[in-house]
Amino acid sequence: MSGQTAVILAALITVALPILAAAILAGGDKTRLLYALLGAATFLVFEYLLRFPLLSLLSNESLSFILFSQTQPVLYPLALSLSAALFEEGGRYLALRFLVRRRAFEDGVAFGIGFGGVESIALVGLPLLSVLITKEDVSGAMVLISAAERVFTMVVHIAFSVMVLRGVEKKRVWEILAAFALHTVFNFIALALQVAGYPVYVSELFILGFMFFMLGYILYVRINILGHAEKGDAA
Amino acid sequence: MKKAAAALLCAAVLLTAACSPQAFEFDEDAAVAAAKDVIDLVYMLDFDAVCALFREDVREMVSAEALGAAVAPILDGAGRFVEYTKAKAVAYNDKQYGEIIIVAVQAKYENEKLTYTVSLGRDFSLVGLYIK
Repeated sequence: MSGQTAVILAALITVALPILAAAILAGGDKTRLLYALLGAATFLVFEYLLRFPLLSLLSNESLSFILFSQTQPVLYPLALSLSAALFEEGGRYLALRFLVRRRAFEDGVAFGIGFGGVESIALVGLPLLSVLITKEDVSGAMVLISAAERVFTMVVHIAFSVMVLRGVEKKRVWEILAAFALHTVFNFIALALQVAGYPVYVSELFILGFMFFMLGYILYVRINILGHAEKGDAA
Repeated sequence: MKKAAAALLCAAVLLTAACSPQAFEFDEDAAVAAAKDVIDLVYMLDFDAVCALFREDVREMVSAEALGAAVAPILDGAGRFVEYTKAKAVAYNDKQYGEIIIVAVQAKYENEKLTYTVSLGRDFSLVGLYIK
């Protein structure tokens, strides 16, 4: 497959797929569509308006931070992972706690699609569109790998959204903390594998494996909810 | 709000960094002065002289032409040198380059601020140079 064909395919996956997924899940439900948009806005606010500028401020202005990044191959990825989990799960908690009134399973999924979808569009989709316009020469395989990674992480974001939504709904702090801890571990291992110089497919395989783990959680919650509904019907 | 959060994050990083001891003892002032000598040569676009400062094992991997091609455009946009604003150094045991001193120096130019990260051997021979 040529580089340009791969870019078109990857752009479709990273831009069209999340939009399509949100539209299909919402159906005619405007509230659910609104929650998908809220998920997208939460990511943009907590990453693009808060965390990225803060990290940029630190890496431009703080020499201690620059030296820390150069000399701490374990603590630096850990600090980045902790900050990502803090801002993303913190943002998710605040949005789901104070802005989302209807807290059905599908609402959490819609929020997660918006959150992970806009990340996919912003981090890979839009840069790929600019590659398409400039006709830059790129590796087709790498482009497809990065698109696949966005699909995997979108599933992970859906799972985290469902986890935090359940934590908020059932007032279970441990579920919110579990999302924070799993997010930190997920980011840290993926980053550490790259920093340690492993080939890119190793970290992608890890992300794929983690996606299946989180997919298992989503299915568990879904089946659990269906089970409760059936028991309710029988009673 | 942003500044408070940045300060908090910075404090956490500093605390962690403060807890990690230096890999070895070194004269920080001398290391910073050696790094500034390198930066002065870079500003004068004397890349042959910069290359001559590289430690022998690193020198064979860099050329004055390649260095000039990478660095000159950055300095072109920066404008006239004004002053060094801050500098800091740490000792580090690198897997590839052994015991090195990493010096971060911020320099103010007419149009922008640049941050140099200069890696030096224990004898202050040049091991690495990064400009942002």
